Parts: sequence; C-alpha cells; structure tokens
Amino acid sequence: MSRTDTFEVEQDGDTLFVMPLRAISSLADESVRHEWERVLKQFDEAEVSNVVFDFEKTRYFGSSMLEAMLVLWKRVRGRDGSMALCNASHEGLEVLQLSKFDTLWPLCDSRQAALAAMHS
Amino acid sequence: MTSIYVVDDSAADRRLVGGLLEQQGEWAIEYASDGVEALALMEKELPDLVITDLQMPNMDGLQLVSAATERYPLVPVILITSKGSEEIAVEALKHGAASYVPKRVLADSLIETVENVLMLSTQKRSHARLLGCLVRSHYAFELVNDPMLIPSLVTYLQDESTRVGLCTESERIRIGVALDEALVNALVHGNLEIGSGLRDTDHKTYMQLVRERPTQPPYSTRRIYVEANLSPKEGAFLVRDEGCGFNPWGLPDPTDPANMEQVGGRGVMLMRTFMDEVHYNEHGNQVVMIKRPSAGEHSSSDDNGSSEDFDTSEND
Repeated sequence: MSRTDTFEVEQDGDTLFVMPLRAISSLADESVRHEWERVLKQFDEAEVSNVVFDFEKTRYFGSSMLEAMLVLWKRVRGRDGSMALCNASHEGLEVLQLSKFDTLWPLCDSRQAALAAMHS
Repeated sequence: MTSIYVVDDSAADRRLVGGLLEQQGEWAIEYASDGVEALALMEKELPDLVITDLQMPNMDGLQLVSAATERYPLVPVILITSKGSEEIAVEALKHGAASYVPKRVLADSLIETVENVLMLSTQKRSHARLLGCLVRSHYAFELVNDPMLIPSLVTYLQDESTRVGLCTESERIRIGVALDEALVNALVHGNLEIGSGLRDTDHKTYMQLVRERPTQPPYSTRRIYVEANLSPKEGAFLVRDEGCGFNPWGLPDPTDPANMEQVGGRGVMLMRTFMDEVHYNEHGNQVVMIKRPSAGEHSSSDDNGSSEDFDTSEND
C-alpha cells in the first residue's frame, strides 16, 4: 500500500484500489498533479487490470476528480479491465449521477460490492 | 443567573460537585443522573454550562459531550475524569468538551475551570449574537495564478457563507464545488489560455503548460478577480479572469453519450447545477453565480439581496 497526502493506493490481486484522501480542487495544483501522476505510474507498473475508486475519505469532489477518473479509465480499458466506484457520499453520488458516470461504471456501497460488480 | 447542570449517577458525587458550586452563591445548580436525563433537561431549558461525570449508565459522559456539543454548540461541557482516564479526556476534548477536571483535584480546580469556561463561553455567545446581526458582507480578492490559493479561497467563502446563515452543510458543499470549478476555469482556461480539449488529446502537454505558463508573459501578469456579496437571503459570487474568454453557450453536453468519455467539459455543468443562477458576460471571461438558501433554510431577515451589485444582464 502507498499513501500520500492526497491518495492511498492499494493493490489486491488484479485490482488497484485508489482512495482520494481529501477534496481535490484542481489537477493544476502542483502537489495534487504530482501525486496523481504517481498513481498513474503505479497503475502502469502494476500487473493489474481493474481499478476501484473508493471515496470513503472524501465527502465531495468536482470535475477535476472526474477528469482524473476518466484518464485512468482509458488506461484500464487499454488492458481490457473494469472499473467500479464505491463508498461515495450523498454529495459525491450527486456529482457522479449528474455526470452520468453511473452509466460508465457501477456505483457500489462497499469495496466487496465493487469487486463483485466488476466480476459479474 | 448563570445556570449549571451537574450530571452524575452517584448521588454523593453530585452533592460534592454541587456543594462546591453552590458555595459561590451566584450559580443556579440543577442535577441529572445520566446523559439521557441531562439532554431531556437541556431540551426544556438550556443551561449556561454542563458538568458531567464520565462513567454513567444509559449515556456516559463522552456520549453526552458528543450529543450536547452537536445539538447545542454554544453550551460548554466540562468532563470530570477519574484516575487513568486521561486518554478519554483527550477524546472528549476532540469531541468538543470545553475542558476537563480530574476528580482528585476537584476541590482545587473545579471553580477556576468553571469560571474560565463561562468567561470564554460568554465571549463566544456575544460573538455569535453579533454575527446574528450581520445582514450583509462584501469580499473582494485579486489572485495571482497560483492553484494553491483556490482551495483556501473556496474554504474561506464557504465558511463565510455558513457564518451569515446562507447555507446548510450540504449547500455549503455545493457552493464549494461551484466556486472551485469557476476559479479553476478562470485560472486554467482563462488566464493561462489552456484549452480543455488538450486534456483529451495530449494530457502530458496540458500538464506541462499548466506548470510553465504561470511564470511566462503575458499569462504571468494576469489576475483573477473574485467578489462575493453574502447575506442570509442570497450569496452572489463574481469570478473574472483576464484571458480571452470563451463561449459558454457552445459547450458540448458532457452527459451526451457521444461526449461521456471526453475528459473535460463538466465544470460549467456542475456550476449550473449547484448554483441557482449562473450568468456569463458576453466575452465569457466573467461569471456571476447566485446561491439562495433552500426553502425554510434561511433565517428571517429584511435584508436586501446581493446580486444587484453585480451586472448579470448580459447573458445567461
């Protein structure tokens, strides 16, 4: 498991769990950008094909987080993998549903449910 | 007269604490035997202070601290701790207890602690009352192109919006998201003139430009101007950049299946969803966002709205 101020990343089998640890304002922020690039590098170097975004520690997020998810999703799809989201707050779910991201990936209430949804 | 509730399941300890307080002669003391009883008393009439033992049946002191400070944040709670419960005392302070007094030094320290807490509490209440009289406030900022300033400004304006009684916690989050989107747009797409399409086609170059342009002319001399007019009835937020502007009416619908996987284009959608009104000027380099409290949320006030100070007539 690796942890920075902004993301906690953990590999479990062929799945990478990415947990944002605080509200991400903008990928223009140097520190956030640097940490996000590290997450992408971890994905590139790990032998995983699936990603679960776990929002347990982030009550809300905006379009920067959505952008980040899409960037990673494109890499996941390049490996024929799956992606799922879990533990989003009421406000987080609102942002995801407004963006219709619930049509791209399953929104689940736990990591186990996310794993099950990806493998169903 | 200052009223104090003493909460303890032990009648002997209640008498001990009550006796010390009554010696002062200027405080009215009432008693409860556990947290549940104390909260019931508080529901009927709020005291100026609560002093509670830690270990009690039904609802212990720590639970009472959490519940009381959440429901009645202006009523301080002092915890009486036994030997060996220092860690719980720290936990209680984290949960909002105003102070704690170890049982072994009760006779020496209780009165002094109560006086200090009451003094601080009186100041806090006066401050809250004063802010309750605030009908309108205006803020103006001129930001350099530093992304690090954005979260600080968003948090500040969220706090101020809460302080004037404009929003609940949930609405506070919506205000924060919309402000964040507007500020990031002003910085990246406005002042730095980095198109959102680049994120899809060349993410590396996009990141590189974000890193380099804040120090390069003409981008480096540009500023972001932010103004806010806040009242309990309305929040008006103006964000203006010095870039070339854009056409906010020509944005593709990010929820259209054909655009779903494009990286950018969702910021304006979130702004429009989370604010009650969003108005761009004709150049597309200034946005005014209006937020009103949800029905039944704001306190009654004869205050005028705030948005009339910002020109929202050009376009919407």
